[in-house]
Amino acid sequence: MKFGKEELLKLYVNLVRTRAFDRAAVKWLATGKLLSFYHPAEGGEAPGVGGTTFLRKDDVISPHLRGHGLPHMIGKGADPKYYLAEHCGRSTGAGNGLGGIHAALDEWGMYGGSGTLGSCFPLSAGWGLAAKKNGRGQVVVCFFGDGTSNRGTWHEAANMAAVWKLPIVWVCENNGVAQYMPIKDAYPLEDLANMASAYGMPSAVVDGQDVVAVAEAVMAAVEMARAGEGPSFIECKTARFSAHGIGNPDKVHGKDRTPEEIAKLRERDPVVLFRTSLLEKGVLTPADVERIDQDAVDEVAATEKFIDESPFPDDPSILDKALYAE
Amino acid sequence: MKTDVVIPKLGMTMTHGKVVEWKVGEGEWVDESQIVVVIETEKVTYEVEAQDSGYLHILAGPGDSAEVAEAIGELYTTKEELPDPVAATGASSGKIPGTKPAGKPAPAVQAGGSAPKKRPKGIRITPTARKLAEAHNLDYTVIKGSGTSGRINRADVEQALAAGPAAVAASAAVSFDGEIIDGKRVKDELPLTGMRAAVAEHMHHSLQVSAQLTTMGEMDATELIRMRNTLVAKEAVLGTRITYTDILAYVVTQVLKAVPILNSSIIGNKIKLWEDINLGIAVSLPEEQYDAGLIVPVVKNAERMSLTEISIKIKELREKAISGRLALDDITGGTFTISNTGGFGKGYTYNTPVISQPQSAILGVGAIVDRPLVVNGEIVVRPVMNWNLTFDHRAINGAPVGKFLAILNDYIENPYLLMA
Amino acid sequence: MRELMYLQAINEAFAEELERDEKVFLMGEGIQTGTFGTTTGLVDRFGPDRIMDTPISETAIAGAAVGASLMGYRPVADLMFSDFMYICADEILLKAAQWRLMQGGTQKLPCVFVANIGGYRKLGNEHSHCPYSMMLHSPGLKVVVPSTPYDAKGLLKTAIRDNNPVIYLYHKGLLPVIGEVPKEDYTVPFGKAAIRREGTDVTVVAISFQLFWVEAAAEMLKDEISVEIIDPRTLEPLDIDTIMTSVAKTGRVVIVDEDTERCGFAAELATQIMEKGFYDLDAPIKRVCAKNYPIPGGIMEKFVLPQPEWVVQAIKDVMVD
Repeated sequence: MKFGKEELLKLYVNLVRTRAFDRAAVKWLATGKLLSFYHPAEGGEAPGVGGTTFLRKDDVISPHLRGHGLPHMIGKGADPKYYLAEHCGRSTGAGNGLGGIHAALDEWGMYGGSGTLGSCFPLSAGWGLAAKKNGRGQVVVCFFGDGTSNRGTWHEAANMAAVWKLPIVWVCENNGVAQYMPIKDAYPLEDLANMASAYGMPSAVVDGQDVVAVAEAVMAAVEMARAGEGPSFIECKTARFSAHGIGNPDKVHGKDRTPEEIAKLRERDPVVLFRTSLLEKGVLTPADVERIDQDAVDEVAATEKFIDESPFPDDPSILDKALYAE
Repeated sequence: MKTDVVIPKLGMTMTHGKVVEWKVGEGEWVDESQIVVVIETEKVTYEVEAQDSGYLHILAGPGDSAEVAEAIGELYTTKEELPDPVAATGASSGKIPGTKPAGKPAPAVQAGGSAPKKRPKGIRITPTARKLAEAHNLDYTVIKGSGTSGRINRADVEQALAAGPAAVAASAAVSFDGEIIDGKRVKDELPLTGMRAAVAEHMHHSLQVSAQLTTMGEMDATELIRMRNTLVAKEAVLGTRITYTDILAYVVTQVLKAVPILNSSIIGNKIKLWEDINLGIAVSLPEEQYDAGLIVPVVKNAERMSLTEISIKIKELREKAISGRLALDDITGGTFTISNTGGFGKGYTYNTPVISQPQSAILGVGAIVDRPLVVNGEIVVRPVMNWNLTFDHRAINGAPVGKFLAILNDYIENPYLLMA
Repeated sequence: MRELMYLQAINEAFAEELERDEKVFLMGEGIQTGTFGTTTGLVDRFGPDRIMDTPISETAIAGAAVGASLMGYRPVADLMFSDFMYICADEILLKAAQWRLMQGGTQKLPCVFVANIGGYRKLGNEHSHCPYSMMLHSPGLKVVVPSTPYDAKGLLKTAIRDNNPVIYLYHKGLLPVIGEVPKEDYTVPFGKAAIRREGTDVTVVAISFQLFWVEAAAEMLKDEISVEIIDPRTLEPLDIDTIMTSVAKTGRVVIVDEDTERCGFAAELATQIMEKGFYDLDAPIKRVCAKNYPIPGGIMEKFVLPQPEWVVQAIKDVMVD
């Protein structure tokens, strides 16, 4: 697919908005506005944003845990305020106050999230099966982390998708560490993409901090799937700038990740890299940068206001209505 | 503007009163000095007059206790000021010490019943059998169960019901809808409140605090009878019909003058011998369904009174007792008590009367009956009155008691000595 | 009326529903061949895109059924043996059961999970389970246990038409049982128990295959004991009202459930009966269930799984209690 100025700007705006919302979520968790827990996306926004920004509205995505799907849903074009309202426990949330961290945005091709990493694989196989049966070229893009790919469900779903030629793009956001477990000690080969060939899938390994590279690779795979050529595997080498989740120590095998390590990772900040590149190319001006930043700030503020003004649910009869469909 | 309706202080030692009946309804107008409520103290009922006029707001309902000077109601100048009626509290847990509220009997079970009553301990019965039995007012405690471990089941109950009342009665399974406690059926119950509670408490207390023992004996009542008959014949002159109790009261008073230690009280670590001889005369109140109340009005300063005066006084007190008009002063301050149980009949003779605290002795006498006595070496039939003298050994030893009894016997058997 | 075998009734129900609604499709291991005859021949009529043979991948099969149902399809995941449902327990008990409420209560998951239950074939502990109490313990799932060919067809059709995840469990022992099955389209509603036999002395609740032993026991004892037999047909929703009406009449209960006794459905039902009808009970409730052991293979199976003599004895015992 061709990446003109419009496409590049779209990617950039999505990255900036993602960063702003991710940081807001961190802040809101600290003040108690955001409920339960949060796993910041900072440093790993590019795979989600790059992998969704150019999809069709009716393409299906399964967001990864990083940023609780904010990079993915923002890239897809959905307004994150309903997801965040749900995450803050409000009855105006996408889950009507029942989901908490889980919430579906069916309209945008997001059929919901699971608390168990790896559930996404069989579900994505099902979505891919339905997409194929629908026959109108829908594609499923399933995002997952390096650790998640250790699940047995990955293998069953990858195998089924491959043998049935389901229109699924498996996007692995490999940031090198699964909570406290480095991937090098959880999988024997350097590239997780090696697993693709076991199932006869084409694969690619890309720089996960380069949002354009991600977008190029994913969209190429999406076009293949859309054309009925079956599933493929894109591995994005990305980074996690802080701990797995807020409140977790930033350790690996029990030892702290050092400030030097983190500083090195931060040298390749996807937002900074992209901004610099676009400024150099003249796609962005400093005024644009400022404007886009401010727009993001305003959007976050408006979302916060929406959340603050939303009531909490307190009617238990919604449980009866929610238990079974008519 | 409001004024309180309070428990008035009717006697020096009074601390509490209980509301018996409101004479005016909630929200109604009360005139000043109108009787507004009847209250009850330990042994006395009292009609309380309103101290002001106004619309009545009731705070304490019948059965509620309150302290002296505590408000049990309020009178408001205007209707608008009236607060909402207070929900009836019924029998309270009682601020009067030693008073226990009555338990309520279990309600009868409706046919086709809701949750049945508590199952008597030790009876094994299935839930449906119990429901069926209770719906028919069947006492299942006497049914022999055919189930495991003697459990009564529905068939057993159906059989008992079908067998009819005769068979049921034969197995002593009488239809019974009252309360059952520890397998025993309750016939009725009386509240242990008011006067009854006061008597109960007093009796128990007396036995606990003193070293009581009773010496018993008999006296030849021949002369007593003669004396009484003579005095009765002169009723019109005396203005009163002399009774044996009257005579005993007069005689005992004279004996107490001679043996004052029997007319004493232990107060602190001293035995106070009283100057006043205030005789408590036990009066049995009119019989009720199961019992007759007991009250002991006091003839104050009997040492100054003639037999006639004593007789009149006792009648007056008895009258007041029976009509419930005894004042607190009528029943307090006694120093010695006499209890004539002759009215109960020949069977009630030897007994151990309980001292009325803080007195130190009580004399009980029984009915006069014919007995064989030995007089001058011969067995003769004489009318005999037995006596039981309970005394507190903390204050009195045997010697003064012996002296008291000797003099008492002398006076009764030789009344002329009273003149000497 | 025409008679069919239980397995044929299931096959016919599939065929009719596949015909009726193009969104219906089946997935499972070897279903085009049909291990038990329940799906045999369907591929010839509906093609491999609707009768899909899958790899040996229970989590993918069950999870894909959930996913596809979220996008408007009506998949039937045939897991063959209900014992295998433990492999995809996450997909069935957490995902399928909870997804709708978890995501806000607006989505429909019209998926059906089909598998066989039951022992008596000396197949051992991994091919003999009746794991429905596990499913009942995850609110959000409906659980169906047909015991006759008529019910097998009618309940399967209702299951496929239901917009919620349904676990449809057919008993291996019932496969060859013959019964009347109408040719025309009919459904059996969920939550409606069947009174298989009327009686006055004891209420016996029998689940799935156990119905036949209970019917035989009732017939055998008919001169001494008047047995009323209730077949719940669906465990969720459960027709507790019919059961309670019967309990009020008889006062004595025996629950015959092939599942393991500890924490099984019989325990749940006994508690409900006690809660709702304590004052109707004339004796403690009796359960006839598999004993609390892993189901042994071979000959020893008969010491663990409920036997007909246990049923007869339980009915007799509850009458003299």
